[in-house]
Amino acid sequence: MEPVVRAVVGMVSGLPADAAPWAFAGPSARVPLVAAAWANPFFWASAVLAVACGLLAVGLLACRRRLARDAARRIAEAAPRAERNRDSQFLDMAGVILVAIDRDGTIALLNRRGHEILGYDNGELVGRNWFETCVPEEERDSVRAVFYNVFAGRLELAERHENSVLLRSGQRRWIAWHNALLRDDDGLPVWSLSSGEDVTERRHYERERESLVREFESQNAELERFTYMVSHDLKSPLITVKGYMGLLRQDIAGGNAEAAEDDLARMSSAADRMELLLGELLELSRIGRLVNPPRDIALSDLAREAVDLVAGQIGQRGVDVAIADDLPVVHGDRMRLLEVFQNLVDNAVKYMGDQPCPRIEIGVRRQAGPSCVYVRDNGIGIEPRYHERVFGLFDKLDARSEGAGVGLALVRRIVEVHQGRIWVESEGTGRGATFVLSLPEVEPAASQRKDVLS
Amino acid sequence: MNNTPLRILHVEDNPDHAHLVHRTLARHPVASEIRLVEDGEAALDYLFRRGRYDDPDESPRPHVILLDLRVPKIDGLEVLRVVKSNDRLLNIPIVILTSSEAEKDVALAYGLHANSYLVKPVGFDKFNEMLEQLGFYWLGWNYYASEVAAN
Repeated sequence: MEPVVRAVVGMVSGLPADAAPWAFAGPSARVPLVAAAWANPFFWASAVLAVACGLLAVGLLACRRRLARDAARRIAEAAPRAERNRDSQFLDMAGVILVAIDRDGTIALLNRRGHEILGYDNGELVGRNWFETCVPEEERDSVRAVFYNVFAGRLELAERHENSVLLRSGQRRWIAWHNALLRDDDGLPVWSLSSGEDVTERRHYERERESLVREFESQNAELERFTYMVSHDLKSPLITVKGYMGLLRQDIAGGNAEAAEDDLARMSSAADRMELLLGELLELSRIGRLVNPPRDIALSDLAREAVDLVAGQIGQRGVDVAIADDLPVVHGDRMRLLEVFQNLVDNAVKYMGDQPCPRIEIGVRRQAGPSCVYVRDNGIGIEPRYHERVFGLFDKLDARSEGAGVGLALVRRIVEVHQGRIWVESEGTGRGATFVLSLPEVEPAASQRKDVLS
Repeated sequence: MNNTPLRILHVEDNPDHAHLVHRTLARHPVASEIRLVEDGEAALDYLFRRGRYDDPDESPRPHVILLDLRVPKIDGLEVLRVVKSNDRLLNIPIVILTSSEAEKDVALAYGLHANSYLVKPVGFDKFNEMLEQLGFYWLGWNYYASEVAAN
């Protein structure tokens, strides 16, 4: 890289770079004067002739000298051109962007590869403003500010940095730059010289790798939590079963039939609980991957379907359900999202408490960004400090409520797999609860994604 | 050995486990009184005499706390942290009684100044044996500081 940069320096500065020795070596155009031969008998004749010849020779000489001067000039001119050719060939051979920018931001030099990457014909960009033409609008001001500060000596030039450039097509590429400043005799910066490598793909893969690593890490952490919960929660009914087996033996030996009945009942319900847990764990393990091909889902229809699935409990409790017609359309696994709504509606009914006018409302909040769908009830509510805990695996606020404490953990998991978020809003006990979901929406514009790798 | 009846605050959300513990302890000759609470919030309400436990007769100070780690509302480690950072309560020994053998839980519990960490054994004989020894140790041999001693 270095010799190329030196060549750029020589080129753009107009300083006589270490010129090739042959470049200024003029032709040795010395013509020997024909001496007069005084001794010659034809002296005078010769003299006359000689004068004539001399005049001719002088004329010729003058003529030749002029020719020689012209030739020398031509060669002298040709020399920097050759030098320029050599330099520009070097610049054009380079597989990186080479650019020199003057203090106003004008492009003084840009090699062929630079023009290629930026999408212009060779030479087209020279003389244009780098920041206006090649820096994406959103970064323009900040990049220009740094540049001016460097030229004003207020800021040290970063030898390396990365940023994006704006192509003629409007696309962006991510470039890794090496920079240097060229200064005049007074030490003032004249040009900034940069070589830039297009690292768009590399950056894309790096980012992809990083996000994969993050995903693996979070999956590992989740697996660890999962193992912990399972070992705790499956062990718990086992302790009950084996503990009551011992008590049962004692009770039978003591002839206490009633106590023996009780022991058996507890063992049986602990076994049921293990079965329930195993079933839900299996269910939870399936969610990690989407099992059904994703499709566009109108959430209003989906919500109605979910309410139908819980119709029994809704009817029993006399709950009034309202579903908005304008819920957004999302893209995802229909079966899984149905489970989400079914769980939320089921929970809303289950925790209705003694509300005389039980009501569930499924609606949407339009706002900047993805809109939020909510399931609101006027039931027992959740105190703010438990708002996160309700989503924990096997976490239940009421030890005696039915279920294994998997429902909301399952709901959150499904929503996260869909790149969404879910949280609960409730002012506290007796104030009802609103579960809010934000899922990436399907919009017509979504199909016209900008072709940007970075 | 101690002769005063000893009072246990038992924090346990699983009614079967609570019943197992109580039935087993009842078979041992150490006089004891067990107060059961089912979640972490109730445990703290009891100890701080708040809410339904605001009557001191309903919430006599325990000699020892048997604490399960995974309990609803406020989890056991948080209960432990709160009790051990309260001047009035920190001298009540807390015995963790949990089904978790996770090293992380053991470390966290001792880090928060738990006085003992016991894992509920699977199997009646071991469960019985452990509780018998627990009864003898904490309810028989161990000496307790009075409430004022901490100050």
